[in-house]
Amino acid sequence: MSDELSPVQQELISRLSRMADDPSPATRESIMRAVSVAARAEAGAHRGRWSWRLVTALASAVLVVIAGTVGVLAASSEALPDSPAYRLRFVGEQARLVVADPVGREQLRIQFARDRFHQAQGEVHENRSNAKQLVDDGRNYLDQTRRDLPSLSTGEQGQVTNQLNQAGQDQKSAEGQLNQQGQGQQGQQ
Amino acid sequence: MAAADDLVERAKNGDKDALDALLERHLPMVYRFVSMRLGRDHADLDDVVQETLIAAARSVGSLRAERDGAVPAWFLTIARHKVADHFRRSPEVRELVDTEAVSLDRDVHEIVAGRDRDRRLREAMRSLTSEQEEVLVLRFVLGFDGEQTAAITGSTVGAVKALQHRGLASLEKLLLSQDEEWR
Repeated sequence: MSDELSPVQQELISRLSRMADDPSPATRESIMRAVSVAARAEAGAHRGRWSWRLVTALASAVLVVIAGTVGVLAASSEALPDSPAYRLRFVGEQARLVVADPVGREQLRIQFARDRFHQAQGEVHENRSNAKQLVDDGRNYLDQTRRDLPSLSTGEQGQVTNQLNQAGQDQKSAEGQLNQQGQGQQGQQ
Repeated sequence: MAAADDLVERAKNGDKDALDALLERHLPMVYRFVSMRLGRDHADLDDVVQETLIAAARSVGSLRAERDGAVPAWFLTIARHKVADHFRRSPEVRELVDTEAVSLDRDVHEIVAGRDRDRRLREAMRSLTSEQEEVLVLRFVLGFDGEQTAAITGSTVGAVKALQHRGLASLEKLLLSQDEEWR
């Protein structure tokens, strides 16, 4: 690789270095002022959101404690749709979502969805109705994340997108198995 | 880098003055990057710079400054996304230049032709790989040297040189194929 630059490349470098401007002092000041105002407004909004979230979290925590006293909730995290504990599984998940920060909430939804897709693959030959319900509920969690994704900052979206793509693969596998099993059943009939 | 690390840590721990100082320190770099991508006279230039800094303030908790150059790289990543968001929101309208209308004034004609070349160069930059574009921007728009560019991109000086070489060669080939004036 030669370090020699052609005349066109020299022109390109010269043009690139002249294509960008430094901000004037007035522009710097005006941008920083606008950023500070926006950051303060956002901090205020966050405080309001946290207080609302705290109340909801406390209410959910009470529900969780009540459920725990009957000794069911602990066993519900892997409960299947045909079990009464499946409803409690949702309650526990909603409680965790309420207290999570915005990125954590989407990561939890993705985790809940992936758990269901994995479970569905185990259930598909045992109880197709369970498997279908698991896939539907997992899909709903991912749809919620896809809807909420634009409200996250660009950096936060980056943290979530990769996991969302992996969950999308799990979803495809689970749906594929479900469809295969459905076609197999039709063939036997 | 110790002072910069300290600033980042204090900003992450909620020190507002440290956050302001961190944003202000990187404002010129972000401004130069966005002005190169949008054009110096673009009406939304200040807005996109503001959006970048606001997003940086919002997500400063996720900033990891373990290696040299990580902080400018982080700001540039956010700026790149904000510029992309801007183009999605309002696709750029190509400046239609009626050269006949301005042909009476040679100076004006040259200014217009220069701006048109800048616009075509900006568009050609977008056709490079993201690594090539990043290196050319860091080296020639933002003025970092080879070692600083390697630190920011987390690569080696040799890799930076190779990307720079390939990026310039691709730009040259593309622009020459599109436009006789570059010859």
